[in-house]
Amino acid sequence: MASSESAVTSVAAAGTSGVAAAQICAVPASAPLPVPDPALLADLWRASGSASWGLAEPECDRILIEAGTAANYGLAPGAPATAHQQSAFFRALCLADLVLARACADGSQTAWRHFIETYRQPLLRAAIAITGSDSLGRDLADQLYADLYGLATREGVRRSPLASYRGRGSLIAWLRTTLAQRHVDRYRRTHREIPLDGVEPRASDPPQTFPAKLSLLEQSVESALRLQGGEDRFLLAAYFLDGQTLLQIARTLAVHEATVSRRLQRATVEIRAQILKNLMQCGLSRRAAEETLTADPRDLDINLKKLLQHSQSHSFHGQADS
Amino acid sequence: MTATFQPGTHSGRAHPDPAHPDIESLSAFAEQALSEHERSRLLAHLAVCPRCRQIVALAHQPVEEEIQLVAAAPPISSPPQPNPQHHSRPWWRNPWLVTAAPLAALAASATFVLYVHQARIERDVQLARNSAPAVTSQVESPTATPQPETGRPAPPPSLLPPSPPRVAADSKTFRTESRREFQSANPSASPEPAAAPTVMPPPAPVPPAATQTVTVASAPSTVETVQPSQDSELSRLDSSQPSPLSKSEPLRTATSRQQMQSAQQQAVQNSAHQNSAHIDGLQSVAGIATAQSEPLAAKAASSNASSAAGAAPTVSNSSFAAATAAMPRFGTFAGASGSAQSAVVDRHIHLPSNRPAASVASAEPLMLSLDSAGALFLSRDSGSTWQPITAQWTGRAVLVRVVLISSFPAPAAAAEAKSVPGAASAHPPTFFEVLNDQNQIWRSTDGVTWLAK
Repeated sequence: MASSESAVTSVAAAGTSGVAAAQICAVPASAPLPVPDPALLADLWRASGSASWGLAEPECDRILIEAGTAANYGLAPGAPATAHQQSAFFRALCLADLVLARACADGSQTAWRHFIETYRQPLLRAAIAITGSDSLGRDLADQLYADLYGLATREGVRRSPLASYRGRGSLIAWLRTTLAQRHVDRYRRTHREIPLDGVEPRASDPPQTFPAKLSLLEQSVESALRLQGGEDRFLLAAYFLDGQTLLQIARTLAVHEATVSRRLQRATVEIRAQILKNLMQCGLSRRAAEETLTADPRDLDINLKKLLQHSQSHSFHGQADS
Repeated sequence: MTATFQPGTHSGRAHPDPAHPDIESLSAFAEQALSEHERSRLLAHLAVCPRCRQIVALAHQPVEEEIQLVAAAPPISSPPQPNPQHHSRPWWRNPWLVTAAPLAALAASATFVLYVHQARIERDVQLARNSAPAVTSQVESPTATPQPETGRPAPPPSLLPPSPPRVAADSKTFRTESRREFQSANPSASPEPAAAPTVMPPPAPVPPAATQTVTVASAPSTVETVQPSQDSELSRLDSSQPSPLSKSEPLRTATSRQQMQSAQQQAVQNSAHQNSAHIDGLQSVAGIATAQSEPLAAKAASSNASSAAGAAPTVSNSSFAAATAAMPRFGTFAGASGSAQSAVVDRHIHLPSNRPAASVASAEPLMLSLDSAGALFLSRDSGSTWQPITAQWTGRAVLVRVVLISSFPAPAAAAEAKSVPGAASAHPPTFFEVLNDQNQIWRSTDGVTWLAK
């Protein structure tokens, strides 16, 4: 990617957006930002309707460049983005929602009025639908509104979660996801606090002796599950562990229910075949391997949840970067 | 859904947790707005993270109002650009396509049929324009005349209002189809005059039989049946049965296709001595020989006698017209003796309408001819010059013929013959009959004045 000096040179040479060039020139050299085409930025500024919320063109350009840099224009980390890829990324953004969110985060009253008129009722309905309760839904929505308005401050600076919105999806989807995240986190936090009165100490299980075949079967199952791809593991976890329906999974993946069903069936068949293969590689005949597969699952010491959802050793972004 | 939540280690912090993707990525994943690389990364995380799976599942619950809101407020009005990151629905999954494909095929078929039909109409109209306008104006289109109801007696000619001259495109189309059908069935037949005109030989002596099949033309498929003389024929001639076709229907039904073929072969064998033959065995003939096309005869022969007799009046116009259109080849024959001549349609007959003659009947010195449009022409000089005859009948004339009562005139027939003005007394009573497409008959002795029978 071009350095800050070359970026300044290119923008100054273009000479079409002096204010934007000045803004970009203000970027410190320690955080170089790729400079898109100024004509493209000007076109995006006009198309986004930023003027309605009082956002000047340099501010809009800065928001766009930040959004593109944060996602590396949808490319793998470290991969340089061409001008065409930058243009495609910017065109795919929900620009109107993005500038509205940024205007609200900056405290524009006009933007807030529009935000309230547009999203208040849908957000309340979404909160009620997520929580399954009218009161909990209203509480959740009101708390989110307070946070979005920027009542929370950090180091004396008003901060709004809307400032983290970068326009990759629609604003209503972002708000819904935020509601869902808050509800899940609250549920998990409160249900961690289990009273001890009703809990009896669990007696330790008697030591069990497993035949050698069962031990082989455990190893084969673990190996087969680890070989599955991310999407297949997501399908298996969502269907068998979370108990989601085919329709819910299909909506999440934007495919048909039948497609989800076929993929699930294919995944289970592949896992079974892989287990058989692993057992045969361990020295069992095919017949013996098939007999081993008929073992009672209760005799196995396999935690499928642990296998499918083994904790990550490092962060999501660190994993992505690796 | 919430019951599946498991106590975890994630806190409800507002700031993004580095162990999980941010809300932006989750919402973009729910809207299929991530690139393939980001999507695969997120799927790999979702496979092992129940919290994020729950968030995505809850956030993706459909709320109709929200969907409408998103649909009503598109995020940007920028010009459409290809979005490589968005997984759009493939075109073959578009439900409208399933509906549009057969509709498009149906529309294309309908357009093609309409085009062919229009072209045919235009061609016929052009053909009509090329014909003589005077004749066209004088000869009314029979199909334009209101058709009388079946079974109701036709009004007298004096009460018939003169029909306006018009060209009926449908009738022309119909005639064209009939002509085409005929030409396809008989490749040798053509409305253009042939090099050698077909001369109909005189009828050969026929041995008396209940049903006699006589071939009157040398064409392989030309079969003409003649009802032998019977006293009942006279009464049948004057009976209320309007259709000669229905009269000859038992004959046709009794004549199977095999009989026709054998008669054909016999006719070919006897063609050498047919010129000097006479119908001696038919001394008392009230002969009505109706030319019929092979399909019509075969159709009639395939049905039983009783049903065919009843079905005769309901012979469709297309079949009847097909038979009529085939008549130039087969000829209209008035089997008789005396001055009435057996007449075939001479291909050299040039009618003023420039249409091929469909039916010809002659009783010297008069000669009547119907063209393919149903217009009647009269010639007093054996076909040299023709004058159009104003239609005095309803419907479309499909057949003209000569009815000759030679030896044993029935009293009713004789009285009727005398009642017709202008009937020649020196000769045996001779009538011209015109048959319309509804099997109604009009009679005339001079070919000019026609009275409903």
